[in-house]
Amino acid sequence: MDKEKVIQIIADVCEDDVVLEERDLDLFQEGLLDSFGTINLLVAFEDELGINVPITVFNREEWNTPNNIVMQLEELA
Amino acid sequence: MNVLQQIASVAKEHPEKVAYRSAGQTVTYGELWEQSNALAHTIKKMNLPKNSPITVYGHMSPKQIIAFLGVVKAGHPYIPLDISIPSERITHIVEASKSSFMITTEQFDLEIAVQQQAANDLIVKGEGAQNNPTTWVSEDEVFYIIYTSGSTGKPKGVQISESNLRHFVAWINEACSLPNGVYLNQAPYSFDLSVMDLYPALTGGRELHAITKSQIENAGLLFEELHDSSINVWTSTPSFAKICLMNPEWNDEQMPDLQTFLFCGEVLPLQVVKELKQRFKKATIYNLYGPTETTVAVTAVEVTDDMIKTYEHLPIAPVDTGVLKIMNEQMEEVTDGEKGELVIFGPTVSTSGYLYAEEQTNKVFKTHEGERVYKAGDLGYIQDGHIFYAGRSDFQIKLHGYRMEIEEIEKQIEALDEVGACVVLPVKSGEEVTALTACVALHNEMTEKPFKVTKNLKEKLLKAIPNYMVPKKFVYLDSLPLNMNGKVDRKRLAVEVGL
Repeated sequence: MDKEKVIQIIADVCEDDVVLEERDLDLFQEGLLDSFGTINLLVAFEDELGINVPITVFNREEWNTPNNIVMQLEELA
Repeated sequence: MNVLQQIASVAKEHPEKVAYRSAGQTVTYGELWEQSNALAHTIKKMNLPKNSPITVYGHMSPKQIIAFLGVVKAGHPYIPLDISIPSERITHIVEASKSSFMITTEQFDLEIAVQQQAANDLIVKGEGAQNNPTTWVSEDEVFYIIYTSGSTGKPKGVQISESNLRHFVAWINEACSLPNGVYLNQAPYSFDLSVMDLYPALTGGRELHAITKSQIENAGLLFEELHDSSINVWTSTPSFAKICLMNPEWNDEQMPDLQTFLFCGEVLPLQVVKELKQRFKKATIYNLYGPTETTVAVTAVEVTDDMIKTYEHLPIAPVDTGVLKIMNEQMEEVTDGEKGELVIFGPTVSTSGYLYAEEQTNKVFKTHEGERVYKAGDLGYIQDGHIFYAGRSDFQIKLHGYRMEIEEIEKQIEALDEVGACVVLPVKSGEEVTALTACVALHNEMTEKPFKVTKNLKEKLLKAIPNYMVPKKFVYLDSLPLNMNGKVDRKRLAVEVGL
């Protein structure tokens, strides 16, 4: 799995390049992601990486930062 | 019978029946009735100024609705304040409404100008109190006040009377053939979509099942809760249904009792309806229309297969309801196909308008041929005997079902020390607004990276306006482009920032 591509997808969905630089940023606390952003993110993972993340697996504790999202995706891929 | 009398008769006949359920807590109609009597009794002993509003701060606890009923039994209107409302906005609402007291059902740490007490303490103090209908809010007295975004930069309080609410409940029961059973509540009580399920449920002796913010944020918990809920009537924004549709297992096997979907608060996309029809084959879907100012909703359309095949956008009303008309600037009804403003008639139009805001009230509440009407600012047209929505005549938008005035957001951003000027632009996909972008000209040259500046501005902004009103993206410009009249050229700006 291309880690940089994942980070770029997150940055695109959040519409903020801060994601590229600060990879331990809590995206929910920073207001960069909400329930609607989450949906766009999961759709983008499916479309661009071919990884299906069931919405019931996603939670805000383990999928909160760019680094943690990469880690979770690696487990699913 | 008025709203409280209807609930009283349920409590008398079926005291053991569950009235409300949320996060594992329940209250029966008997408990709801007695505890709200107790709370009302304690409030009355405080001798607060007559008819002064009382704020109720909290989320989905059963105590929240006990407090609502207790307040109106004591003769005061209530103002629901959800935990998601930021501190500065709460302070503003408490002061602007001249409210005399605050009841809390969740931890509350803010210093405010009025006394506050936990609902539970008020109930305990008044235990055993008798019912006293003489003080109940009735007829044209204000039952609740809900604050909504205002273009002046501050939210405005919409006053809904007992008569408004009673007529709304009677109308929706009939218009949507509401069945008995379990009703879903998804919206926070500070958002008037919640009224659409709260009072039809309580006055009809039905069970209201409220889901919480933390359940919505954790899809695993949310679907577990929905699966075990036996919900018959679903009320939500279309945006919330979209989230649920992301789960392929959300269907009539998981929720076999679901009979009726009620959607309101924003445009109902055709795609959402198509998907729902496939997954819930036996359910009926209603598209409802109405602003807070006329008690949640005034028209409903049952979405038929024929409509899905024929139209690109779903109708919001039949043409002949008598409560929704399309009018031109001279207040004459338009002909078929012609665009005009939606004007609302009938007994659910707010009797007293906005609280302490006469000028704003007079701008949109008018008398037309002897009848009180509300000019919604929404545009529409008539086709094939239906009314269709066609956007706004001003800067009000709906984002994920939340109504907001772009000008309020701009004024709040301009109030920040660093900011010289600001324009907020909606990011659209078709007619639907999907996000907001703030175009900002700073006073001084930027010394930090843009994302750090944005982070700082967003943090400050979150104290003044709710999360959902904070623009997602901030773009920095040396100055904002002006048109020939010296106003910011929004169209040129949209092109410049690539929208």
